[in-house]
Amino acid sequence: MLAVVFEMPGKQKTRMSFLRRQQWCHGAIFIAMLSISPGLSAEIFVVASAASPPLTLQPGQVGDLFMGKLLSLPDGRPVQLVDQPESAPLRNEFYLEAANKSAAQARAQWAKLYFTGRGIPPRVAEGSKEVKKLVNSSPNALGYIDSSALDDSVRVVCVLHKNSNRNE
Amino acid sequence: MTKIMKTAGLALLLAASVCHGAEPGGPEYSGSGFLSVVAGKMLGGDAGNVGDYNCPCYVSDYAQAAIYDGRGGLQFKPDTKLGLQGSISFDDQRFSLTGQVVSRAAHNGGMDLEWLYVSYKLNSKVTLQAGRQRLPLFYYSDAQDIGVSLPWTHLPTWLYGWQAVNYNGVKMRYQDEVGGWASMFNLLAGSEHLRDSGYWKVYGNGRQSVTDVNWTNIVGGDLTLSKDWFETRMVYIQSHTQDINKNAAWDYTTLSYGPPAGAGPVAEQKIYGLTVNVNYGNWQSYNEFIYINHPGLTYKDFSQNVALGYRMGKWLPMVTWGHYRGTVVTTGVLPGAPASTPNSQATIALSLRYDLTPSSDLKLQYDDTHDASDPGFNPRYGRSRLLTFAFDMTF
Repeated sequence: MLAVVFEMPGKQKTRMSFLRRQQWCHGAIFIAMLSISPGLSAEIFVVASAASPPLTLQPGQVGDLFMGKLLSLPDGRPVQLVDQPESAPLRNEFYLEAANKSAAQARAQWAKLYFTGRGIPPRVAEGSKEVKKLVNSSPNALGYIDSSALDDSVRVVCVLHKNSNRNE
Repeated sequence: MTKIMKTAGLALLLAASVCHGAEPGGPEYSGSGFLSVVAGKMLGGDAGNVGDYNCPCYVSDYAQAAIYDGRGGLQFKPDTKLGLQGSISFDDQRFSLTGQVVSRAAHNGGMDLEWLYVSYKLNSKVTLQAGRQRLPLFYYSDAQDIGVSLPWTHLPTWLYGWQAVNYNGVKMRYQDEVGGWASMFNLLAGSEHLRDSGYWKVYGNGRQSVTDVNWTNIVGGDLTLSKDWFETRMVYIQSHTQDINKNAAWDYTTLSYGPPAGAGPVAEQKIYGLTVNVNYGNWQSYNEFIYINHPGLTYKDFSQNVALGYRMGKWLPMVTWGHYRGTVVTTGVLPGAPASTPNSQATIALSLRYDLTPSSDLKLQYDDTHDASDPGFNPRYGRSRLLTFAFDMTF
């Protein structure tokens, strides 16, 4: 089955070079191939509680939050982060797209922040189902899931497109 | 005071490690740790002249007197360490007490209280801290003992080697997004009174020497800005310093211990630092520069470190160049005489990191150090070639 891609006019489908982070949070719709392994859809959805105030984040802001460079959301609320398990391929893909770091680099950064009192690492969920449960437990919580887990129980605040944010 | 703080820190760690968790409506406890097991082998070099140390030798951590010397075989003492950290937080983590102890093989396994401080979050952007904490002289100062956070088996010696690494005092931290830049600004003030400095053992006074270091009236701040692939940090810290050699100091003329040098002058120091880091695609570059002016004394310090690596999946090969020079300022002391550079060392390091898991890694590093100091300058490290292999983890 071929993937059908609907994109905003003028945007490229292939990997881009010399990207500055663009506003991909709205506008791209992707129908995933059934042959793609679960958890490896082309998009990663950053989600908040369905009951949380309306919020839109840029990919750069998502990266800064999940790397501990920012501790609060744009409206000033302190953020509570939820991570996928270390064994999940989605975790590595997320950090590469959001922050251009591997999951190991992100863990090293959080180790630095935690052991120096500058931040508490994201809470680790057991998978996308628990990610949604945890983000819904707090209006300030953010997590990330792939398209297979996306439903109406969470609010999408940013969409990351794989291989679109790796500045090369 | 140090004993009281050490006891309190150990009690905190014990409580946090045993009572990990949270009570409904009550305090939250947490404990964690880090470990580095590092083996080093000196591959060769010059005999050098560093007090009563057996050279060729390589100082991997001045503040801890951590030195690989000319003995044969593998050496584990200089860089192997275990750290434990515990914290207790209250009021939904607005208020917390944090303590960290580190056991270093360089100190024969002795446990040192690194820091013990209270934190209070005024709001989501401003945090106040008071107590014993890390002195943020450099970009990696906060994480200098956490091997997992570093691309090297040990920090670049010529940049990070200094007398004091901690201080007792206060800090205010502000974090926010400003104009699209993730920003962090720290202001700090305090002092440090360090007994039996490790720095002065390996920087000339000898293994048996006892030299106390006082840094008083410490005032300063640092600003870190990051956006996309670019990050920069600027730091300014000033203080008064005094070194007091209490028992004996190595005499480079008789090559034996001489009488104690006593108390040196109380001098002012002004530290200026700049960091520029780039993480562009798979390329990673860490660059740091520091200049220290000592008004009233006759020398200035310049140090820089440039590193370039390329990430290939779980592998990170990196080449690093570090350089230090101490320049004697003769203007006003010997009018008309040119400034000389009596103290100068440089190191090229080749390192390779492999991420075993997100919380552990293996590293291999080769350091080749050259000493271009004036012939009459001591200590003289000479040339040294060192190979180190590290396993780091957090838990």
